[in-house]
Amino acid sequence: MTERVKLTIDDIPVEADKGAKILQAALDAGIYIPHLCYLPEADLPFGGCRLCYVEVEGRGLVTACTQPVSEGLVVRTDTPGAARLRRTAFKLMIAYHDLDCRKCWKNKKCELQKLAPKLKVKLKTPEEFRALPTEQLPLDTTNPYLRYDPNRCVLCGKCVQICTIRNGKSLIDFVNRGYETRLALSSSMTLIEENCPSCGQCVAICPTAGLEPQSGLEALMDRTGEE
Amino acid sequence: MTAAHLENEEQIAEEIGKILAQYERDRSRLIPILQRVQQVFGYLPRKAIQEVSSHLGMSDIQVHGVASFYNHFRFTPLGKHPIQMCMGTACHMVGGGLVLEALKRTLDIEVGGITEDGEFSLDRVACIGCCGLAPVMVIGEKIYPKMSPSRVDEALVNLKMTSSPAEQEEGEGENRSG
Ligand code: FES
Ligand code: FES
Repeated sequence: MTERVKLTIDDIPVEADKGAKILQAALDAGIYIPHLCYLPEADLPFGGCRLCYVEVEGRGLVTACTQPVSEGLVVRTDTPGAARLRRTAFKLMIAYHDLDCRKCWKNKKCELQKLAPKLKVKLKTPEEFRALPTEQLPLDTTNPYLRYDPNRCVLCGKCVQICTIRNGKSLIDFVNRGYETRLALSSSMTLIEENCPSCGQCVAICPTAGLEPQSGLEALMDRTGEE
Repeated sequence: MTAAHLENEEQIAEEIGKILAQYERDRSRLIPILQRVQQVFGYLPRKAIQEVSSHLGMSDIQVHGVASFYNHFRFTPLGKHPIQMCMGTACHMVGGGLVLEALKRTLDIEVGGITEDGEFSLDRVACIGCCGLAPVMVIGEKIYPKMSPSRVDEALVNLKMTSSPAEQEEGEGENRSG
């Protein structure tokens, strides 16, 4: 049996498996910490969305999905520092996001819409990013089963993670760097969709409208709605 | 797809096969392999990315993802006269961007592109170490100091006319001191 350790999160005593991540320990104990990119079944935490900041005594501000628990750990989710970092991360995420939610097919089922009130951020382009240029990027329609919309993708990397787990190698991956970073589908290179098993897991796991199912995958839309 | 194009792809695949034979099927070899491919071809042909990915058991998009992260790798061939426009701080401050715009307009290509006749390719680089001459353009080995948009045409026309190797070397000698 795995060793158990005792810690406290917001003064609530919690027990967790040694080596488990703070985020998982909190969620198991029914304590909410915002998170987006976290995928329990992944080997390594991706740690990309930065929404899960907490403050840990002796460790400072850390991402809860990457930090392991340990005996006697004191975690606070509600410090001003952690809240500020979480909010900034979220604002950056929506800075270039197409926020015309009413016209979006994922309206009301979008993870961003659920996160915004929890983080106390309004779902409109933050004041500080208004001046930045916004251009509509072309959709990737090369895969018959799904469509990639870079204007609505927040680069959480969940589709990349799940595809790697499911297929051993990801058929969707990050390309370019910095501001130019996008996801790209293998089908945009091969043209012939020889590899994609059309399992639809990437579409199902996408928290936003970044990946849209196309005919044949429609059944999955209902599944995404249930979550 | 034209036959000529196919033949070309086959040739590429053959060349890549030779390169790949020298490397283990191990993902950690990816960057060295890509470097070698670029050395041989001057860029990373799409076909090469596909061959490399199947050699390493990766998907083509994963390989492309890694390669596109680095400025070092390019996905279009170099032109006969590869143009590099400096966009380092000094060159940027004195109008490097305007020169770059002029180049794009004149050649009718984007950064990273190549003209249809294969004569010119265009890239932007960050500081080539002679900021005193800013804004600086480099074509092949030749440095063009204190560039301005109006001098773009002149430089390109001269190159098109004087494509003989002897004259080019002469030009190099004069200008390389920087
Ligand atoms: S959930 Fe921790 S960084 Fe995304
Ligand atoms: S900035 Fe252009 S040469 Fe240094």
